[in-house]
Amino acid sequence: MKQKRTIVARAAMAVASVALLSASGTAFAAASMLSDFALGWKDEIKVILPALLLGFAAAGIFMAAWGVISSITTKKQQQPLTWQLFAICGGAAAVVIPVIIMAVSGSLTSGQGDASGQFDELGVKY
Amino acid sequence: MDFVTIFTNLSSEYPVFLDTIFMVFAVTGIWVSAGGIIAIIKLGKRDSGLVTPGAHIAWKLIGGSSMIDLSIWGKAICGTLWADADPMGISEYSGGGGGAFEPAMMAAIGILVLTGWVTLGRAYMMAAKMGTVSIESRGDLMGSIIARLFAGSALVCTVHIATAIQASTGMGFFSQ
Repeated sequence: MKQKRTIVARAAMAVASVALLSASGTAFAAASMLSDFALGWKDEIKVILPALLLGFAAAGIFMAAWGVISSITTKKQQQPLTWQLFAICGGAAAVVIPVIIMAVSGSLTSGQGDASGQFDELGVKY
Repeated sequence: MDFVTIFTNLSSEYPVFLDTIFMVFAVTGIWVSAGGIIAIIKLGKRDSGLVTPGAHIAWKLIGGSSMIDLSIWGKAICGTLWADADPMGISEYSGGGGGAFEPAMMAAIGILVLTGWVTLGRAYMMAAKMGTVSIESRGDLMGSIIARLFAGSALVCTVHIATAIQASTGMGFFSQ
């Protein structure tokens, strides 16, 4: 019985808050629609995603440079190379991430995919 | 103002919703693929605990780049599973543009279609995880990927499947 009362109270609270929100929405804001949120996200993503990919590229350059330096010092100490080659190759690949994604999606869909269109829409240069 | 009006009004937003869904999955795909390429660097780390880093990279690249082309893959899967290579565009569900069916019913089905696209995208998100799970749980993951591909494409083709059932049983869900 107690539980039942809680459920009723919660439902009443939810309905009341929705009603209040819609009342304040009509009172203060000009009709802001759900699809406006989506457009706002897209604007944010256009700024964030290129910066994110630049971050990956920077990490790749750092790893590649570290790999080169480390392989020189390791060879000077007459030690075998272990991770350095992978760091150099992976670092170089990290700089061209969009190109690799386009290549993979192109070969998966036999060239019919629209990855370049998506990249254009998201503001990624490739 | 009744529910018919509410649904029909909401349905005019569907194209933007679908664009947003595709955009979110494209961004996730780029993120996942970038992680896969960064994993090349981790190949050199012998004690990383990854069982097969090669499969790890390959599945992340496959899953991530499929998410960028989600609409193409959705059409391909609908064509294979439900013989509907060109599922109805989302704009046909909106604003009562369906023609034959009731506008509010079409608007309600449009929500199912949006859910279907999300489900298809989730399937590719799980496909990107294939390389990272242990060998024992790989079968379970494969099962849920296939289930999501089936369910998602069935949701995208709801109207098509309903009319097919109507044609073969002679009993309709829609008054055409």
